[in-house]
Amino acid sequence: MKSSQEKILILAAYSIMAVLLFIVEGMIPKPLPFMRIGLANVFILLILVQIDFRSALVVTLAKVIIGNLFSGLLFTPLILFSLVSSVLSLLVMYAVYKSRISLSLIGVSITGALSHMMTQLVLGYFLFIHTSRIFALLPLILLIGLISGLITGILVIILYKNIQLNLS
Amino acid sequence: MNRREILSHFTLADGILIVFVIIAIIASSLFVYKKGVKSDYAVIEYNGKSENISLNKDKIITLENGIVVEVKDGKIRVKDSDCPQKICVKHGWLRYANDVIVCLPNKTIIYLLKKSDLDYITR
Repeated sequence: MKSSQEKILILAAYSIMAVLLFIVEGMIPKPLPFMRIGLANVFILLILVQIDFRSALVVTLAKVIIGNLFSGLLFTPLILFSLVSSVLSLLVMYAVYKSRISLSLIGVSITGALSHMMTQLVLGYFLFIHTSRIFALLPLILLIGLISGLITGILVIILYKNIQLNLS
Repeated sequence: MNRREILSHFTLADGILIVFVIIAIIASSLFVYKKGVKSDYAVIEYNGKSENISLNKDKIITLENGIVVEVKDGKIRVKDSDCPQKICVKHGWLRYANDVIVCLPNKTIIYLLKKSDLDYITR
């Protein structure tokens, strides 16, 4: 099998995992809609480390578009939150991963989670709730970002060790 | 993969990042949950009207919709109301800026402002 075919298969598999995790996580009842771990990010970060940025972008877009399609949010203003924050957090993770700062995958995942949540907070301020009172959520959002980043980071490390890709 | 193996992945930069985020959480929560600024004006909105009331003078006001508002010692509360659940009455005293009492059955909102906020609104 040629390696480009393998790559497509891996992209498909990771996209499916990210989409599934996104949908299932959205189904779990929670007190506030943004209180999620962001398990889909496990596979986005994993593919970013294992293959490259473009593949990670494909998985991210698949997560946003297909995930929101099945969550019934595709053509609502909420997709903007999902799209902008997902792509931006991927960019931040890529920058941090490539930079000389010696963050482990856990640290990269925490920065990704934090930038994801901060983007949503700022977007929420500019698009929907034009009151600075929304920033009362800041401590909660930082805390959720830290915890979810830790969890996804540890999962990425475990998966990275156990999934060996042989792309030539 | 055991716990020690996972822990061995942590780097110094990770530690600095985590400590920094924890400090940010503590600092921002101190900032957000600090005690409110004492307020000196209350705004009562009902039936599409809005009324400003100074909290410096003690008084008892009866609104047209039957709500009795009491001002005392720079605080304000709904003393009595004819709504069924009396949530507004149970809410108790307000004294800090941005505090709000809402009485949905009577379509009444009472909130407190700093003097500077009031200047802005009335201007």
